[in-house]
Amino acid sequence: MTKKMSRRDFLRLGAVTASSAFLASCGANNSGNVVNNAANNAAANAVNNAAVNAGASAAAPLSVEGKLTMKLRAAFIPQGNEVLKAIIEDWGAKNNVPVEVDIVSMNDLQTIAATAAETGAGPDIIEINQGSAHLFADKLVNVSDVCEDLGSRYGGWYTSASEACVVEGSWLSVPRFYAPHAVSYRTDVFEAVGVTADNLPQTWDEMLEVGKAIKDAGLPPMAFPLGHAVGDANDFNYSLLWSFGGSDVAEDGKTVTIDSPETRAALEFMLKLKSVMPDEVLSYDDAANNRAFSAGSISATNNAPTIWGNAFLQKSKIMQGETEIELHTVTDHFEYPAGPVGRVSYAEFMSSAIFGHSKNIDAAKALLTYINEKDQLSPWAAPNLGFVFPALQDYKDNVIMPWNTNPKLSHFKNNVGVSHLPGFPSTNFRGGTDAYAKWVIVDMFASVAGGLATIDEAVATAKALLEESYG
Amino acid sequence: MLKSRNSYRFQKILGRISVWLGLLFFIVILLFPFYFMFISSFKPNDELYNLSKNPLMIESWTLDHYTYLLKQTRFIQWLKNSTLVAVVSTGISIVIGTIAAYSLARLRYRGVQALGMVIFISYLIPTTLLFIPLAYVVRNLGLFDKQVALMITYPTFLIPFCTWLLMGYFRGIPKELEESAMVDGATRLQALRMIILPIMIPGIVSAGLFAFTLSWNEFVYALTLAQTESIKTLPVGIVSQLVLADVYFWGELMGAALLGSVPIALLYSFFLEYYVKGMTAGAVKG
Repeated sequence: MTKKMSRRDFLRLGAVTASSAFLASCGANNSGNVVNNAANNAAANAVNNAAVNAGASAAAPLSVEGKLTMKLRAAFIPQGNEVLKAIIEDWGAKNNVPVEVDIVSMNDLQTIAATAAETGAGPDIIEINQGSAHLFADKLVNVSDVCEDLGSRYGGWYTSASEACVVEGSWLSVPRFYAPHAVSYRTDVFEAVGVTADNLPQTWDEMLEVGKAIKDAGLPPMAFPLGHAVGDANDFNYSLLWSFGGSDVAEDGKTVTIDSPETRAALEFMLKLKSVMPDEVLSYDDAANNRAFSAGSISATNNAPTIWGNAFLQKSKIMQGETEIELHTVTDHFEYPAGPVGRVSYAEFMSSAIFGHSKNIDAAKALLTYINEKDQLSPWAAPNLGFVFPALQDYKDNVIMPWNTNPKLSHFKNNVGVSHLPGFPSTNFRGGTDAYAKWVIVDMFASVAGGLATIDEAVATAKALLEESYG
Repeated sequence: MLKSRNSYRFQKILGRISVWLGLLFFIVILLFPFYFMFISSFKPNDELYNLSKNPLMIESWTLDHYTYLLKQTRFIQWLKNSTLVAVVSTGISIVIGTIAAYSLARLRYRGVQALGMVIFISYLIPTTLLFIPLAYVVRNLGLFDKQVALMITYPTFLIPFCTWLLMGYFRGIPKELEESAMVDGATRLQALRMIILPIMIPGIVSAGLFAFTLSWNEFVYALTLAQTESIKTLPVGIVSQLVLADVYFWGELMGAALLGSVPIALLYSFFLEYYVKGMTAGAVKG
């Protein structure tokens, strides 16, 4: 993890990476394996190409003051993080730019970004989440040239990526990746109540019916986070609100619209859904639903592919009656159910920002362009088992992407296309990000589900807070 | 008579049993986390993640987590960094805290009470409120992202702590001792250095141990002021490398927590006698 890599090491790592992708694909069926083998070869080739082409991207020599430093978000597979590190270090070596890349957890990144914004000190590049570019707008470098170039070459950016990064017509952060969400579920538990891959819940009402059947059968319940889980709770609650046709703000970006029949319908549904979920959901953080699922105490939750991925990598086991089985063999996914207005999802999203204090802006831009190009982005995204979903649309159908090679991950493929940032349907993403940071929507649902407030009270509280955020 | 003697003996035995049971209870409570860290760090993943297994027992042993920790992360570097930062900031804090405590406890000048209160209040301000203003100061000093940034910011909460701990201790030492020395011709500083400080050693050791522990565990300043991978301290390094997305690498985390607590445990065991003396002296004579 700490050793500097030579080009040879880097290529070797590429092979390891390809192997890990292959191992991952072993969970797939035979037809999937054919695709997987092709994908692995493609991944290995792509890594090799990345190494060979690292120097070719620089049109003019890049000069930096000190080192080009960056803090990037860690994915859940160490090998995937190592691939990214190697790609960046190889670019640095070829361009004669000293680079220092640190891959850290998301919560740490927010603190580092806030410090950088306030003090004007810190790394040249910091990965920020959601609509943070709107909060730090006056501290960030305009990267429209980078984004327009990449967008024109790779099929354009997803709508939610531009929602997050475009502030008053300028790109202030380079969209990087989504951690796509779907429902992770236990196939054996669902089958026990008559639900198979052919009749999975397509709507929230159908989901509730399955939840009731599971509860009546005394099986591990479904559990969707209602605590302060940065990724999972926001994802679930915003998605529910939007798919019921509710919203927290009007298109004008100022009028708070949370007090609507649609919101109340979503809250009433939440009350019903809570009746089939355990009380622990009210305190779930991002790791809690993973733990509960891994322990076999719940049968469905919303998540990025980390539950299945970690179960597969760790070969974790659970008891099925008297038999010990590997959890990943009975874990699969399906897309978020649709509400009355269809499927609308929240986007768990990261982008790479260059802070204004950077003295290495040109080098930072060159690097951000480089790592988002196909030869670099593909071999990094591929081994991350679906956790890394690039924000450029061409990658969706890229043959080596995990959602195209592993049937269990295919359910994540469409999530990003229907996703939005807090602030949707307006363009006031600064207000939306403020409301998101204050947990207004999650707390509204949680207070009703937890019996702390009536629907009227919860809506009134949320409305007052949202008026501050969007005011 | 015999009955009363038997009753007395019975009560004595009962008293001892309750003392030992009480001790046993606290020993179990205090050592359980270490036991759990120990067994979790030696369990292979398939056992660690298998909830049908007894979480308090271990069936097969592995060194995989420690191998990963020591070979695939910068654990040793983080350990060295934490040690250096904790030793230096504790040293600075003890020196300044001792002088400040002596001043507040012994000298009489206008505002001494208020000054003592201000120092106390400054200790109560949480680091989460101070890290951004301090980061600004550190940046202006040109020390951002350097280890020395931690060495000078940790004393901002360690000095008030040491000062208040040592004030109680100073007040427990009779003034007459240093007054006698001064009557015999010693200056105030000489009296402090040659008479008072040797008596103060248990108190200073106690304050030093606490200050070292606070430095060792500090997270927010370390995260924001020392960001480069090679200068990270142990708590920051562990979290940034062993918690990836919503996946926790429990075996390695437990191993890191266990190894990370060893220096503190060694320090406490080495200075236990001083520590107990220092605590009791400060407690009953303050």
